[in-house]
Amino acid sequence: MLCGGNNDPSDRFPEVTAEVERPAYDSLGMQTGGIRRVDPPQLEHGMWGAGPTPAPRGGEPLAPRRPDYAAIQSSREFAELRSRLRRFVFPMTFVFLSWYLTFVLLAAYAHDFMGTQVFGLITVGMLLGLAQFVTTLAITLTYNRYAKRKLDPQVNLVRTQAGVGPA
Amino acid sequence: MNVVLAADAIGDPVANIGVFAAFAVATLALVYVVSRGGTSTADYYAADSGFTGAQNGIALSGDFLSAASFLGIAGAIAVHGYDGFLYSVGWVVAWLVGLLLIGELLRNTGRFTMGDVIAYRMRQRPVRAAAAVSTLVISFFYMLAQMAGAGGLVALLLNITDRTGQSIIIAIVGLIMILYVLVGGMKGTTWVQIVKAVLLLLCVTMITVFLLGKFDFNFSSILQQAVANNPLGNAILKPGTLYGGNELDFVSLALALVLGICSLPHVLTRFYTVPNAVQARRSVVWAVCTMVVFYLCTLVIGYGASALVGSPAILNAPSGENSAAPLLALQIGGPVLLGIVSAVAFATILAVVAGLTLAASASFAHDVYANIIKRGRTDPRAEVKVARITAVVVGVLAILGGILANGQNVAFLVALALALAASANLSTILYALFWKRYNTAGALSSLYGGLGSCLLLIMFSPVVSGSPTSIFTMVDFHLFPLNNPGIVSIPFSFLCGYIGTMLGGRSESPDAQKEMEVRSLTGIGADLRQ
Repeated sequence: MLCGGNNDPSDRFPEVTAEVERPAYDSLGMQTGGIRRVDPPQLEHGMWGAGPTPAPRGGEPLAPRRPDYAAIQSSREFAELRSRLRRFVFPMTFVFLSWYLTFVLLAAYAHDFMGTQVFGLITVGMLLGLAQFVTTLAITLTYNRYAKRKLDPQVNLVRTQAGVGPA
Repeated sequence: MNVVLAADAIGDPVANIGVFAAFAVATLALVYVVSRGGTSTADYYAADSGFTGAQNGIALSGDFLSAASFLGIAGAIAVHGYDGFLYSVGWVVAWLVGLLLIGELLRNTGRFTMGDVIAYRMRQRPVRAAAAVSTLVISFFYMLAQMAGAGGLVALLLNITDRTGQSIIIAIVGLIMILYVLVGGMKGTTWVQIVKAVLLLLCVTMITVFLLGKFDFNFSSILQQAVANNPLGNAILKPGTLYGGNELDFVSLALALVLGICSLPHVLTRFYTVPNAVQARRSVVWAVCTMVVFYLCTLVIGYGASALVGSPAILNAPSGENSAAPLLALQIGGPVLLGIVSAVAFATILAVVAGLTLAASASFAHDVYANIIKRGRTDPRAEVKVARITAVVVGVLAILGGILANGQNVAFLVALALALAASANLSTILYALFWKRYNTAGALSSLYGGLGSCLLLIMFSPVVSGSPTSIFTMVDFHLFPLNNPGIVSIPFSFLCGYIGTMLGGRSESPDAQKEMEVRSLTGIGADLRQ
C-alpha cells in the first residue's frame, strides 16, 4: 500500500479532502516564503531510490492524508473509466492515422488519380485534403462530446469516492 | 509593378520598421502589465495554470502559425501548388495525437516539464537527465529554424541585404525575445501568442474574403488564373511538383509531421498553463478549429498569390517563396496591410522563440538543477533564478545559431526538429502513460535510441552531404538515402523502448505506477489549485 497505513478494508477510499491535503505539503517543508503552489510530493518519490513511497519529512506521517491510489486503481469505477477512455482513443487513433497515411500514400504514388478534375479545376487531391480537415474536426468534436458524456462524469465519480471532490 | 518590386524591398522599409517597433513596444508593455508580481515556479513555468482552455487553445495555435508555416506554406502553395497544401494537412491532423493521447493525461500527471511525466515512476536522475537532453536538443534545432527564418524575413521586409545588417536584426529580435521571457515568464509569453494569433487570423481571413470576393466566390476561377500565371501550369493542381521523385522521403516527412508536432517541448509545456484536464481538452479543440480556418485561408491565399502576383515575380523577390503572402498583401491592401502582415510575421518569430526558450529553460532549471543537482531540495526562488539565467544563455545561443544558420534551409531544420520530437519524445510519453511495465531502462532506451538514431541518420543523409543542396557540397559521405529520418527512427525508438523494458527487469515500482495511472486519468493529486 502506498500510504503505508490506513488499510482498513471497510474504508477503501480514505476520506481525504483538498483542504486537509494542502497542509500535508506544508509538512514536507517544501513551501517557502509565501509561495503557495509547490510541486506535489509525488514527483519526488524517486529521489529516495527506486522506492515509490515518499519518506515523510518533518516527522508528521503523510499516510492519512494521501489518497489511497492502490485502492482507487483497483476499484471497479476506475477500471470502467480506464476502459471507456481506451475504448475510444485507441481505435480512433488507428482510424485517423490509417486515413491520413492512405491520403499521404495516394499523394506520393498516385499523382494522376489525385490530379483528376472533379468540377471546374478542383481535383480529387484537393477534395481528399479538405476531407482530412473535415474528419479532423469531426473526430475532435466527437471526442469532446464523448468525453463530456462518458468520461467527465466517471472521473467525478471516482474523485468523489476518493474524497477529493469534482475536478 | 511586380518587376520593380522584385528588385527592391517590399513596400516602404521605414513604415515596416515603424509598425514592427510599435508592435514590439506594445507587446512588451502588455507582458509587463500581465506578469507583475509573479515569482514562483508555478507562475514562471506554467502561468500559475491560470489560463482558460480557449485562451490556451489560441496560444497553442499561435505556436504553430509560425513564420515558417504562414509565409512558408502560403509561398509553397503559390509556387508549387498542391504539394504546399499537402504539407499543411499534416499540421492539422497532428492535433488529434495531442487531443486523444497526450493532452489531458499529460496535464494531470506533470507539473512543469516533460520530465515530470516520464520520470514519474522511474529512477529520477537518469530519466530526467535524458528528458532534459531531448528537450534541449529539439528546442535548439527548432529555434535555429525560426531564427534563420528571421534573417530571410528581414531581407524581405526591411530591405537589409548585407549579412552584417541581418545579423544585427537577428540579435535585436533575440534580445526582445529574451526580454519577453525574463519579464513575462509563461504568462507574458502566452499573452503575446494570443495577441499574435488573433491578429494573424484576422489578417488571413480578411485577405481570403477579399480574394474570394474578387473572384466572385468561385475558387475554381482563382485556380484558373493561378494556372495561367504559373510556369508549371496544370501541374500545380496535383501532387508531384515539390515531392515528386522522392516519394518515400515525403512519406517519412508526413509521418514526422503528424507524430512530431504534439511532442514538441514547447507544445507539451502549454498543457500545463490550464487548471485541469477538461481545460486541456478544450485548448486542443480550440487549437484544431483555429488551425483548420487558418490553413483553409492559406490555401486560398497561396493560389491567390499565384493568380494575382504570379509565381515568377514571387521567386524573384528577395526571399523567394516566403514573399508570396507579403507581396499579395501589398497588391490588395497597399502598404498598410503589408505593414500589418510583416509586423505579425515578426511577432510570430518572437513569440515562438520565446516559447521555446521558456520550455528549454524550464527543463534545465526544473529537471537538471532542481531534481538532478539539488535532488529536489531547492527553494523555488532559486529555481526561478536558474531558469531565468538559463533563458538568457539559451537566448544568446539562439542568436548566435541564428546568425550562423542565416540562409540555411529552414524547412529542413523544422523537419529535423519534428523528426527528433516524434522519435524521442512520442514513444517515451506514450509508453509512460499507457504501458504498465515500462521502466527506467525502457525510458532511457527510447529517449536516447530515438534521439541518437535520428541525429545519426541526418548526419549521413543527403541533407548534410552528397547533393547540390547539402550543407557540405564538397564531400560526399551520405549513406542514408532520405532527407527525413522519421520513417526509420520513429519505429526504432518504439522498438528500443520495448527491448529496453524487457531487458530492464520486472516493473520496478508498482505502487508509483498505480499512483500515476490514477492521477493521469482522474487528476487526483494534480490539482493544487482548487
